[in-house]
Amino acid sequence: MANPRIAIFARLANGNVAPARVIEGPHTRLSRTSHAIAYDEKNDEILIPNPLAEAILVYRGNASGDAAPIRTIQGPRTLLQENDELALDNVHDEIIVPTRQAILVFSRSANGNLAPLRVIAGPKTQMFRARGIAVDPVNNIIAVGNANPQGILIFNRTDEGDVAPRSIITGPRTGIYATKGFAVLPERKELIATVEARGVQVTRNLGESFVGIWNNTDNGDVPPKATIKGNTTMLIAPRGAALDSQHQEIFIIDKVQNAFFTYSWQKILQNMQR
Amino acid sequence: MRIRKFLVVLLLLLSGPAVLLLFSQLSGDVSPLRQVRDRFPVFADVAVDPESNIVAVTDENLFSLRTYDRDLVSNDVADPRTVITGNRTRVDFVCGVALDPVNKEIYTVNNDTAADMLVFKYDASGNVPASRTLRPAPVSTWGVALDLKNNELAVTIEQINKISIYRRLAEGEEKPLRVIQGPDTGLADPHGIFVDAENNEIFVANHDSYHQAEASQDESTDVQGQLARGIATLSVPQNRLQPRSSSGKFVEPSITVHSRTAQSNASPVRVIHGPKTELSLPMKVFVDTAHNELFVANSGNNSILVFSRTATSPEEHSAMVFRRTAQGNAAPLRIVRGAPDGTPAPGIGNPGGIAYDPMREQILVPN
Repeated sequence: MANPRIAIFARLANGNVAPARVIEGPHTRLSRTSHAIAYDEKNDEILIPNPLAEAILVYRGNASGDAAPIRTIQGPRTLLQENDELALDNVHDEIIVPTRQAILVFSRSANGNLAPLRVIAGPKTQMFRARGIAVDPVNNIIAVGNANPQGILIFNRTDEGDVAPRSIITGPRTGIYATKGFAVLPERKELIATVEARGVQVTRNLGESFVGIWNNTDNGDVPPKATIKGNTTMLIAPRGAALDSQHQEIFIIDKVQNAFFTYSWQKILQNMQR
Repeated sequence: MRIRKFLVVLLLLLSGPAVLLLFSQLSGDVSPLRQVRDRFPVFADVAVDPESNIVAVTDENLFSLRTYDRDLVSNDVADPRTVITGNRTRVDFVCGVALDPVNKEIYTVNNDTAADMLVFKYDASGNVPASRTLRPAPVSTWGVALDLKNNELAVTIEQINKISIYRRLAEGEEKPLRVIQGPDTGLADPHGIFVDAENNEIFVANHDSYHQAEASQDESTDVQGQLARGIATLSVPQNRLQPRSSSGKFVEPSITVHSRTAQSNASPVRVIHGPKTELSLPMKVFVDTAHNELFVANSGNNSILVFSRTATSPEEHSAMVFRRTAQGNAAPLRIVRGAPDGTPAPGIGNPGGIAYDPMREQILVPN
């Protein structure tokens, strides 16, 4: 189990089912600890980090079996380190990679030992143990989870160098212990974050962690405008989030459950508090 | 009149749960429409004690450590002798397992969350605490091996390419006796480990991802471990880490053989690598000192490779037993099944990310 691989499931998969196809094998160059994945609908490509080899791997959208990446970003100039996550901006053709205390922005078509186009790093950024990242290419923001201050740092998409975030969602009313994954809704100007409750990886308590929705203009100690939270959700330690806008569904993957769950997006919208 | 009262009470009783359900749904406590989840144990590593007639397996999916009778023959789901699982056990993403046939103890290591080494008695079962725990690393411990001759144990730590050797009874935050780590060691995403005490050597299975681990990464994974356990009291270091040149590269998968007493950045005494070896994501290594042979569970192409000792399976619900002398396309002698034959395995293990491909209507999940 937990072999290095990408499992690809049918949208309607349910229960104890095998994946429709799997990308795995020595030519894939996959490792474990890849904590994010992006699908590029425009170019039909799959992007995934390999933090143990400090690389970003890109595959064809229909890749299967022991497929080699079609592009690999790796080498001293890339500045990649502890790069277990990424986000894709396919409007501006950029890949955004957090490295705990920096955000690196690469050209989407980068291949080999190339320097990032932009780097956001330094004391003004307040970045510390950045975890989870999203880019909204329409509203031009980058959101990143942060350990201290605990919350969500929001930068302008084109920020570079040692810059302060334009806003920080943090404080007791946010309910944030640790953000883990993000999705964005550019048309609604909203940000979806998976939030792990303190200690749930050990206690494995249901219903304490949650998925929260904030306006991307929120700043300060602002509670989420809607949540997916409670025992019925089955969530223990939610990680990544992905949206299917056509079928109005949201997919949430859970580390402790070793599972992913599909929820009705309409139901979440009915629950908006603001 | 009495009937009407009864009907009102009945209606209230019946509608109560419905109202609660409606309220819970409105408050965000929504049930998933669908869920993809494996409800069976998935085996990550196996160890055998032929004298006590037991096989121990680790299950990363349901977070359990199980033992079975060694000679169990059944095509159905096998009945375990013992199942250690539950919060008190601290069994989590368990990977490596080793057995101590002298002291009748099972050693296992968690790969994530609380990447501790746990020791249980052979007869421990249920939601019971470990007899001893040791914290070799904050995260990513994979393999564990025992050296009963020298009363030591060794563990591999994936993310920082490290082997730590402790006294066998080490516990808590005890420091290792020796550490093998550095660019000359040949360690790259190390997994399985075996200590050959007779020949004073340590064998390690390495994958193909490498980066030069730095001291700062030790601190970084420590914070990561504290966050996972919910015990973090974070303070931002004054000297913030700045982006540095990346050292990542891909290397050939290998079996590195180290002197048993090697430490620091010592080079291995031998390395098995190269295309002829057919090594591909090697996981477990075992040395048969009686016949001078090295066995490698080669997960990249679902094979078990047997090398001369001195020569320079992945997503399954079962553990298979082969003859020691088996080669080629050989059928196993016995199969220990954790799920009915043919049960699909979603193979989702410690997942972090998810993406949706609207073109193919497919969901992408990396491990």
